[in-house]
Amino acid sequence: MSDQVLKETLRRLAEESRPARISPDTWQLGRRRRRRQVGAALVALVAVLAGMPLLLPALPDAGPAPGTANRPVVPSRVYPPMTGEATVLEDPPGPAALVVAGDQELRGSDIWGWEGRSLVVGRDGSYRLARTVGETTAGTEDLLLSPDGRRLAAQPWLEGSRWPDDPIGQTAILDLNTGQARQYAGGLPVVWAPDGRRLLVMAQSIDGRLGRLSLLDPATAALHQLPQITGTFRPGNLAAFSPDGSRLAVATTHALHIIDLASGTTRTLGALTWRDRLAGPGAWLPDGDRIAIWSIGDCEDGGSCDEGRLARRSIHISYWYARTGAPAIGPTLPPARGLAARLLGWQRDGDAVVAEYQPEKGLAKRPDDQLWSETGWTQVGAVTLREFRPDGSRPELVELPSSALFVDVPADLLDSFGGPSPSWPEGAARWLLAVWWPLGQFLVALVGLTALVASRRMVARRRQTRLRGRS
Amino acid sequence: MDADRQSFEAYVQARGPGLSRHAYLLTGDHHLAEDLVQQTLLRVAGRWARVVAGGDPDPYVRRALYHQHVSWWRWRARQVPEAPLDAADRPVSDEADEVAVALAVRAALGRLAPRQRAAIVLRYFGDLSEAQIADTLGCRVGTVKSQLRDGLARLKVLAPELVELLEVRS
Repeated sequence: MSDQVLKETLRRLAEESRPARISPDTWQLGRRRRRRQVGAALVALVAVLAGMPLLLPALPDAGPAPGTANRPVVPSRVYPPMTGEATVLEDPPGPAALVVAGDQELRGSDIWGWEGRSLVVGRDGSYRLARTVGETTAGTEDLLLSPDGRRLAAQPWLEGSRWPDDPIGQTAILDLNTGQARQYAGGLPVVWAPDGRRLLVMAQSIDGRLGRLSLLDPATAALHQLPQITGTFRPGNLAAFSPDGSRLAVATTHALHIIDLASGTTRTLGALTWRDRLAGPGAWLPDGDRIAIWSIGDCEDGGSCDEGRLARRSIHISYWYARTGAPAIGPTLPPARGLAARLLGWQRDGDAVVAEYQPEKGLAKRPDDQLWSETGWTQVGAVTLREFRPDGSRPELVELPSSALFVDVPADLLDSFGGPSPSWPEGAARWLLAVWWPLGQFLVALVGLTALVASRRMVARRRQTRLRGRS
Repeated sequence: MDADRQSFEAYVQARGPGLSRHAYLLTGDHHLAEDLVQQTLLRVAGRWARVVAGGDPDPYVRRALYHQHVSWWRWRARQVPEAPLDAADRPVSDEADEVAVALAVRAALGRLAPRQRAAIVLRYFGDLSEAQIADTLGCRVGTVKSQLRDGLARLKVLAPELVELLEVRS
């Protein structure tokens, strides 16, 4: 068959065709169809993103394997929580390995009614949200994990508790095995005792002065008041139990006090300068004879200080004898750097676990700032969890989300770092959603609105078509 | 009326008959051809601004038409029948051999695979090069060559009388 014959034949066949009748509504119908396609794609995208938290745990090999007695359980990397992540009330995770609070996706939103949405990571690697009415800290003034990680002590704005009409404040303790919260009178949480059977609480004060300290027994709700100590204080570095739980170190801004819990007596161990801080809840060395003190190198002379200086300042560690207050010899650790540091405790090999805080962007310290707190929500801009070693190194123990500002680890797990993290696809999804966090909420609202408007228009159009058909 | 809509309607006015001819050769049926053109234009209208921004709309529209046709066939949403031979559709030529050729080619076209049919229509009716056909069908030039070769071979198998007719004429 020659090409020319085939061409002529096709041309003859084509001449038989009738010009298609094109609907005059083609333009509108085409545009409308396109809008529907785009809307459907958006809805599908949002559905996939919103459904991801439900799908990921069902995937084979999703998430880390549960920890065992011989396996580290504190994950080496923590990813941001996702929208729709289950809360500690909805699906209690069991004993926790870590709690992290912060900004952006960890901050939550007024849209959902919870401005704080801290992430609790279970020992089995599960992620749960601990939601609070406002933005919250973890470890410094709120969200304190018990040494075994089974309970979470918080101010009573934690989901599952109710804010009381109580001028001295109350503490909510959430059982992470059952999801049940119980409230206790006596004050706000400060620090857990090493055995986890007592919690130090402090009566709320509004003038920056130390409130009445008490020991709370969560099992019986019994409250044992401690001797009165007066003075102003720094919330993040207020008190530390001795390793055997028999003594309590309490730091005001001017002095370090020791309370003997058996006899109920108090003595002042020594004066603290404006540069000195009790090192943190793990300030006592494991021998129970020495107490670690931070000494801050800059910005504590009463003058103004900008973010750069606050970020660069060195925080050196020193030791006092707990009996005499005299300077003591202790592990030679590298200095912390930044806004503040909290010593969470000691590992068996003598290394210290330290949370190191950096200043918020643009932060400036002014001499007349009455609300200044170097471990407060508005001052802290980042946190890292490090292991301070006598050889001078200070490796990062857990890679936290970039929005993390506060972190707490149960005292019994300080030798259990390096545990498994979520799989990389789950990590990537969590990271992507965190990047899209503010826009994601807007997108959900936009898709909802679009679907509503589109469905109303469709109903109206069908009604008009029916009316036209009748007439 | 906005400028996009005006330019779209002007395009439909000018190119509608040409699209109808392509659609008829692909489907072999007037009603299916009309549906194919209508569906293609609906799709094009939704993206018109981007189509005209890219320059000449013809390649995009042609691509949309051919993909829509293949999509119909693939999903069996609409059965593409062989061209019916009712009296109304018959050509009005006086020459008996030309009529026979046209009928044989149309019947054979209806039995080709849609991509072979599309390649033959684009090559011998649309006068497109193999590269342009590859662009339209979204495949490689080598694939177009094999589709044309196989399509023509199949035409000869499906209509052996056509070969004889052509041999007599030549």
